[in-house]
Amino acid sequence: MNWRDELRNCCAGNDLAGAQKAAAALLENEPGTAATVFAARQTARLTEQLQMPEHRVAILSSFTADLLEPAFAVSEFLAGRRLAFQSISYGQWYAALAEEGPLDEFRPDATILLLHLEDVVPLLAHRHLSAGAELAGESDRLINALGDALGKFRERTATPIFLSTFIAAARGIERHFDRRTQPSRQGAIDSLNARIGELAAGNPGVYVFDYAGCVTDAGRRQWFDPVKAHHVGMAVAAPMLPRLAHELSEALKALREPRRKLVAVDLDNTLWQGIVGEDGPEGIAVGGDYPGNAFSDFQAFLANLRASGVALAVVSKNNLADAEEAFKHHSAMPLAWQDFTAHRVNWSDKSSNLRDIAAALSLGTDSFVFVDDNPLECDLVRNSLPEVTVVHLDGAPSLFVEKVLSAGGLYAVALTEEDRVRVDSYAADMARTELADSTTPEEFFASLDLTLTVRPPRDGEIERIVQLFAKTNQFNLTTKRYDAAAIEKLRADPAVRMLIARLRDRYGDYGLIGVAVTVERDALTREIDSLIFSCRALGRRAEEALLGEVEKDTRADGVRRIIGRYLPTKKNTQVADFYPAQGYLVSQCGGEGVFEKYLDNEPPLPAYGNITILRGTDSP
Amino acid sequence: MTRDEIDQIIQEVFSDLFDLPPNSITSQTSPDTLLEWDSLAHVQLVASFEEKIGVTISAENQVEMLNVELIGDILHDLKSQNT
Repeated sequence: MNWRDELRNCCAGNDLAGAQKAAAALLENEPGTAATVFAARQTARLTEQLQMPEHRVAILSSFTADLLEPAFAVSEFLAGRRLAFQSISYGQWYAALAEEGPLDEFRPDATILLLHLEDVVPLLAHRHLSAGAELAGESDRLINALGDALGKFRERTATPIFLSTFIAAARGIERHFDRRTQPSRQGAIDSLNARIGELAAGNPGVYVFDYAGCVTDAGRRQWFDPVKAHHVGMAVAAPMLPRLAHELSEALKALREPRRKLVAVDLDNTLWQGIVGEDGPEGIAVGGDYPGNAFSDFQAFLANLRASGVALAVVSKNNLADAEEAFKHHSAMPLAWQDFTAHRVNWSDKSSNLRDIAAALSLGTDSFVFVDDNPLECDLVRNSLPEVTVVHLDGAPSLFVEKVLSAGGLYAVALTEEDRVRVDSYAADMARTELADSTTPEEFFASLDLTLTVRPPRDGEIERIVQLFAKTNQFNLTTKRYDAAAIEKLRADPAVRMLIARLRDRYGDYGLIGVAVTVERDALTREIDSLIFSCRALGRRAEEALLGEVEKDTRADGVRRIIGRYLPTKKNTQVADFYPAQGYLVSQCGGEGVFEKYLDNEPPLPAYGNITILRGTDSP
Repeated sequence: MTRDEIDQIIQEVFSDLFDLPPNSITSQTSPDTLLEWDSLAHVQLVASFEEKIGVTISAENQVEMLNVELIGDILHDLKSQNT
């Protein structure tokens, strides 16, 4: 197959999926600069023809990143996006962040700062032993400049920005004594990277691109071409640019797209080698020598994935007793039976089992990853549930981790408290579901002992609020996507009131699950700018209680009229009638989807019988 | 690798990088006759030849690549030294 012709034809025929396939195949068969530039040009024509929305990314680098553009455009194209690229090079990164200028004109959706040690802390990079007292000051100045530039950038824009970690310096004369000597070069770089991390953690919307890790994976000697670096200022060797581009696209994807929520795994030849139903629990291999060690490493990866907020489920064709016996017999393996939020060990088809788990956990199957060594099972799931990410584990078990990670959708750029406790909360959800099935809805709600906290947000909650705005699609009346800086602006605006809702019940804490933003329109009118509620906490009438609290506050201010707006999207049709159901009337002059309620005429919504509402600003 | 094979690779690389129909450059094509052949493109040309022909092009050689014929000469020399 001539993939160049194929790509050209697909692009000419406006065939996006075909072009993605052809571009990937071309670059797999013929990786290199020429084919990358060719693919970038062809696909740029296609994305323009299809009028795909631009994903605007600015790279601020201490070197020139112009050469990165074709590879980056291709990696974004393969991820389904059309790149608009701006490269701000050499010493201009500080001015671009600190002062209004080209970056503001470009209006980036995301900005990535890539700094090389040699450019920004040259003493540390080149002559740390002979630099004397100036050495420590150099690193301090850089971190201060970064903090200062970020602060000024944030005053002008809310867009997310990635800082990056510093790559270890080229090893010089110090290599055999560096770590036992002061000043230690690599020690100073470790410390710089730790401070980069602190800067990001302390600033909403600031993330860290692990550039150092990316280069470590590829190898430092591959990454740099010292001759071309000196001669033409090519800071990254051309063959490494697609790799850098791919990692940048993965980070941007983690920033933009909802993360997968559950990984469903098979058991035999997936979590261990062998078939427990035939070989018996002592006949399967996990831990110990190869191949058992590869399988236990894969399990350890899954255990860590779970701790980062992705639930695990077992979906296996086996006898339940055999499966349980395998976990009992190998009690030292990284995963225990109870680490799985759901177990579907039976002989039914796997897609039904996946649907069943989705229903039990109130999750969409589009948030599922399915992992199996059997190609037939993989195909069956692909066919009946195309929205599920399917990972076929063939080949060496030592490569399973990489296979699952590269399937996509599991990375995250920030880990919130909610993420860390999420998987445990699923177990509580299951207990609730069981209870709900066995009683009437009224009895069920009454027995939950719901407590809803409604109050203004605290500083530590902004990251979670940003997450809710980014990811809530169903119960989201206006689907505005505020990022961290926009949230800060709203909080500072005296005409705006923001309330968060936290919910808990006898089974556990749902965390921060709702946000309401209202804006003063005039002395007698407030409008609900945003009303969002996590789907995990829906169906308990707590969302109605949140609206009731919003109305109470509004009325207490002497405001007569409250306006609610429904802006339809593909995913929020379930709230099309939310306002009418809460006693709102179609607005006389507001147009379609605008509702209003006169708070004089009607009492605010009643308290919801079984929900205890806490309103103190110090409420948990 | 014969001179013809090298010339063929040069044609392909120019076609990829500058969006030209196959075999449309001549031995005298140079930055003066091909507007898009700027310094950035030159870096991409050098990288492409290194990747496809399996040679390392020194800084001095890069500067001497003033037209397509000279590129062919240099690449051919480098490749013959290699093997």
